[in-house]
Amino acid sequence: MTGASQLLAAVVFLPLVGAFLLMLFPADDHRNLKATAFGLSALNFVLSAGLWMSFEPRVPGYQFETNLAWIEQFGIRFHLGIDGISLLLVLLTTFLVPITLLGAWTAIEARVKEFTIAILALETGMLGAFVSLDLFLFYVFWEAMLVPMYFLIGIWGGQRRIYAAIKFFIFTMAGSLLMLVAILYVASQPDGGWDFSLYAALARSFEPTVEPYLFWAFAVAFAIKVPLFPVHTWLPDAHVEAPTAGSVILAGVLLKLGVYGFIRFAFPMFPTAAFAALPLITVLSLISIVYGALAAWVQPDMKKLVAYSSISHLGFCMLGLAAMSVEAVTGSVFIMLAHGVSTGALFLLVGVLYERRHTRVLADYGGIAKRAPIFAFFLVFMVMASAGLPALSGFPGEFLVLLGTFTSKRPMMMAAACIAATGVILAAVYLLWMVHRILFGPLQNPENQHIKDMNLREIAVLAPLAVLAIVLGVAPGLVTDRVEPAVEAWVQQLHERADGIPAYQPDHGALAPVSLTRSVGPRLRRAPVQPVRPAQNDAQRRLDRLFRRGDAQGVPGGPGQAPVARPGVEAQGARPVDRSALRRPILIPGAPAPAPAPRSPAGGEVN
Amino acid sequence: MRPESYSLLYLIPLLPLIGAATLTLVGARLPKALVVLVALGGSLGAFAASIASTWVFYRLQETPLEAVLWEWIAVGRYTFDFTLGFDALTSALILVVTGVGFLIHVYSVGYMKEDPGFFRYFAYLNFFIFAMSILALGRSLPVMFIGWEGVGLASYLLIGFWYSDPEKALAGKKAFIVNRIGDFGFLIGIFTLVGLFGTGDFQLLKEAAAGLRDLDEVLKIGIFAGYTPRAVITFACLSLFVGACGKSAQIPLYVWLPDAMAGPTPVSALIHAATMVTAGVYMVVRLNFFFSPSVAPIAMHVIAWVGGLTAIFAASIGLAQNDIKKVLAYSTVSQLGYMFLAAGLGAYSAAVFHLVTHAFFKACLFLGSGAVIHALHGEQDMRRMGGLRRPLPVVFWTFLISTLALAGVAPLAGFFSKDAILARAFDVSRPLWMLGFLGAGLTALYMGRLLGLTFFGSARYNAAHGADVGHGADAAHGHGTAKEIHLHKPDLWMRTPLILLGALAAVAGLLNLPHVFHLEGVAGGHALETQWFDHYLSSVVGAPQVLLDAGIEWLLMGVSVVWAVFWLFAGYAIYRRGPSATLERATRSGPARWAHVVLREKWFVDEVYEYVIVIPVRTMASFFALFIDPFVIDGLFVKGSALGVRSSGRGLSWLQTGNIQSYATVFVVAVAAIILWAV
Amino acid sequence: MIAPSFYLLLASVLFAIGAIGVLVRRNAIVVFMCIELMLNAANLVFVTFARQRADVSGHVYVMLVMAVAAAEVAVGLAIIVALFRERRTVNVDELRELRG
Repeated sequence: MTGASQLLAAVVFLPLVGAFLLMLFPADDHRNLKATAFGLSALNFVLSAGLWMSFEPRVPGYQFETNLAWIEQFGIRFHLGIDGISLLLVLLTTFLVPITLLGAWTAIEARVKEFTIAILALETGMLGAFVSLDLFLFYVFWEAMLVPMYFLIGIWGGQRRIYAAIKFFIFTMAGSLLMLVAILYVASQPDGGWDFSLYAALARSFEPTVEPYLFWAFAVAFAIKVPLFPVHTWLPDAHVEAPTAGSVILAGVLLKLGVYGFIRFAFPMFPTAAFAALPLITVLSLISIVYGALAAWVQPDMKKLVAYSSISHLGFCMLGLAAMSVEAVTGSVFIMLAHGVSTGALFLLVGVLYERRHTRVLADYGGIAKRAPIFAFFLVFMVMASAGLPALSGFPGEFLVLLGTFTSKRPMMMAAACIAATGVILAAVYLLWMVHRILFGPLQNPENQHIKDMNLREIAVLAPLAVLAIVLGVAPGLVTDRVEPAVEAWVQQLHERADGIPAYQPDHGALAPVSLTRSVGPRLRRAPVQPVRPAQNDAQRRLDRLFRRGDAQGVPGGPGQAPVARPGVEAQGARPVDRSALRRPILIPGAPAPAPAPRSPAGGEVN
Repeated sequence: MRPESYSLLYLIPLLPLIGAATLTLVGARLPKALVVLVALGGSLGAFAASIASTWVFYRLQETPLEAVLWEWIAVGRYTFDFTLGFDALTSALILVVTGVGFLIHVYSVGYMKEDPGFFRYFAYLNFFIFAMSILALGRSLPVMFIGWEGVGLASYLLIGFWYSDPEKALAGKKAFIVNRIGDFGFLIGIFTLVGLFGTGDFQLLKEAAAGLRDLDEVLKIGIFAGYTPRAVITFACLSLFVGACGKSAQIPLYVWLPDAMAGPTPVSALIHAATMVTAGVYMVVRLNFFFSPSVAPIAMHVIAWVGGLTAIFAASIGLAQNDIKKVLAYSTVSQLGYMFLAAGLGAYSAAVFHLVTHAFFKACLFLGSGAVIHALHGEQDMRRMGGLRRPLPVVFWTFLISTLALAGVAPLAGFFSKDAILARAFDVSRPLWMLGFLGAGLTALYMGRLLGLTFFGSARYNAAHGADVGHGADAAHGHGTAKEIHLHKPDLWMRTPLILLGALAAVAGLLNLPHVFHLEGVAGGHALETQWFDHYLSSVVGAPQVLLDAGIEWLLMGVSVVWAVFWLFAGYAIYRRGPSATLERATRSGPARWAHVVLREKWFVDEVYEYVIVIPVRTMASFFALFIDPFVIDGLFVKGSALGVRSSGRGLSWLQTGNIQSYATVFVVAVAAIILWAV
Repeated sequence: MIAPSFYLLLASVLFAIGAIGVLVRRNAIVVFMCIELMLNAANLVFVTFARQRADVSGHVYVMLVMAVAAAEVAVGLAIIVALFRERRTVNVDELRELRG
């Protein structure tokens, strides 16, 4: 265990330690409680930024692994590790938690001590679930998350908070118990022993008669969390009743655990069943996209509106998974981040209004822009980010998912992409509807006459989100560089393992120009694409250094670029493809590959 | 031709972006003079950078320029660089955008002087220039899409600039959403082309298009296996054209543009007349290697016909509008129809030429109407104008020149550009030519009417306000019901752009004289330079063709000038004394009344959309949100299963007697039974 | 030596009397005594087999059962007394608070 991997464990458990620390504080010392909680979570963000720095991009497989004995008799180990996908979700979590705490600075006045403890405990639960590579450990974190969230809704919530909290708890619990049964089945080995590690589960193949049941046991648990169409009704209730902080974390992080679960567990463990289920998942995601958007449009309550919009956005994530192409799955992961940023911000903005007027009904507002121009700016900005305006955070994800779906080799995906793209129209419809009802029109309601604009603290809460929305939109490569290798290995593996489809073979389009097809093959080992580009002058090179990533080296050890001879564009028939270049060592650990995850060189160099 | 690297291209969008960002962040605290400085600096900087780029382009023997800024989206099979490109077509559009944009910035300083949202206005305007230059410069479809949606956002913000009026805010929303419907098509088009060619880069797409050998051989690999390349490209072209219909206000997505007149008038001039709405035409011409009669004939027919029908349809509505800006808005829709008619017939340079001249004269017309509205304190109803010729001479003369240009009177700019389109139509398709020709007559008629009602006759603006005619006034200028209106004359800020644009509207035709003007010995013994613009664009759209012979072309020109002048004069003659009483009587009953109502109510298209699309979809949404969710899913399944659990618990609870002896009895009997079974 | 079957028979009879008593009597004290009867029947079986197999562990269990029974009597009688003070009855039919 190296220092780098201790860093991961530190990031996961620092909030929990903080929660215990806070228990020692006097209950009425609100200021110090909040300040300490905020400081700790901010420190945790800094620590996780260290993860980002020392993470080796363009390498699939897990980094920062910690693998310690825990309950040996049952083959349960304390096994943590992150790949590009979980790295970003960890960062999203550590980023959102301090923002949430700062955002709730004045909104939470009762039981502040319990509140801060709950949030920090929740953070550990979420982080743990994102980094666990042991099924038992994952389940522990998964369930541990429920309790603080239950209290967040049930104690600091609105009118019908108890109903919403119980509904949330029971929905999630129903799913996770199914998952528990499946986990036990997966962990019990044919020889009578137990092994809960994910690697072991990935190495097994299950009876065709059993596999669908196992898959659906996991899938239902995750689908409830996402939430997919028929099991989504807990979400609007939970959001409406939850305090702002709860909504931000719920939408920002918790929902992502559902999609993450599909990516990390349900799909790779049961590839055959997953492939068989793809048409159904596609249909359900399409329904979620359209249904969520339409339902959002007619909500009188703005929190409900944003909640239904989450259903629509997460539908895009699931569609991306169902499309099974590198672009679409990377897009899904990207949407998870972008949605965390934009929807988190929208919930914070709703919270800003709620703190002033104590109503979430759209009809009570109108003309607010006149009194609160800063608020108006942030609302329009975040709505645009959420609606997927290009060069803001919402766009790259949606674009990649739709493009990846449209160009997927799976049947009927073109039609699916077209249906999903109507979600882009509908997003504008319901979001602008909300903007219109809140900000525009005459300022008629006398109670809104003296509404105050956002104060410095609230600006400080939203400004980082706005900056991040721009950064993600302008330079999505920051994310995709780290996500894509993991996704690519994932897609390859699934295709290989599900009914023996050979290695996923990228094609650039039937009539792609020659200059493009040279770069056939995984981006991992591909030299930077040099389309017809002239010699660069000095200013150009300087700019390059500023804006482009230096990706010319590729991965150490990988063979160089694999040029593919191509007779000419007119030959539309079989294109000779260098198969050896496409096949490469399997890099997802735990697959029937002999070697465990290749450790990143950086992992060792850190300390 | 290999593009030459010229990284300074990024200055064109960057400067207005800096302006917009500065004004957004600190504009509220800046003094007005500084706001003006920043805003004009941003747009003038973009204009200067565009001129510089054009100069570089020209010096490099018209080699396209490019600036590869960074790798934007690069995942899996596809890489989309953030690349800016500059060629002849770009230079034409970008000079218009930044040049006219700068003039309109100048004009706005005068027009918006008293508005409390002064800095916000200029922030939006600078943002628009930024987005539009990304649209023009973007060298791949996704980058173009950034600008494409960015201008949509700017348009949304500027139409709803006076957001306190719900009508105006709703108009902005409508514009954005209708544009989004178009963007849906645009996205599908991008996906199709990327799926077929693996790239969205125009340069690479052009290479690929040039490499296409047999368009009708069925593809064997890829996601389009089973279709011919021609079918796929046609599908892509039609999808992209849906996007163009949204942005450029063509049937059936034109409905947002007339409503967009809710914005401040300079905005209507810049965004909704000169630049943004021409983006669709630009895109079609930009992709002319696909939008070509030889590659996708069906798509081209559709485009030409949609353009032709829009031209005449919008012009017919323009006849019966009383709001001066609405007339100009429908006129814009109609003129955009001409551009698509040209593009659909493969006359790309004619389309772009009309785009350029239209930008000049229509911007001038809008700015003129803005000056009129400004002078009358927000009055927009032409029935309450009249006689403005004398008090507003500068406005009148520039307006007159632009009107003549729009109507197609020689030798003003619009004459040459419209003639180029009609000549092509005459050659290729007589029915389309008839549409264009009739449309030209209608154009002249409604412009004659507008001119007559606004500038001639007696001044009616002093008469009673608040009659049942007329619409809302520009909120910032609305002043109650003064009997005697003090005319608010345009200041220097406003007059200068008017004069410059009027001059451009007069002489821009020289850019592209028809080939028949190639007469020896006219200009000091040399032949006139003809078709300069066609040649200039030829590196993008191919060499100009001469189709008609000179005699027919001269004849067409003569006929169309006479036709335009006749209808222009007819409109002027009927309306120069104010709303025509004769016509009023004629349209009071019978079919004439119906015709009038249909035109005045814009063929009821908005109502049809409302009842056929909006209300059904919203009803469905309500059905989902108010019935399916609470009653079917929550009621039947969620509460149903909860009820099932609870009632089965209740049902079984009679077993729980609380009597230990009955439990013991069950226990003993069960043990006995087990023992018996075991033995 | 008396055959073990006689002891077992006696134990069965005792057990049956105890069990029937538990099931049919309504007086809690009688029910309680019947439980003791059943315990002792079990003890008798333990002792019988211990004797027969010459294994002392049977005796150990008997001691254990007797100890438990003593403790049980103490607790059980205390509960019954407390119940009687509360409800003035020890009829188990009247004590049915746990009915579902």
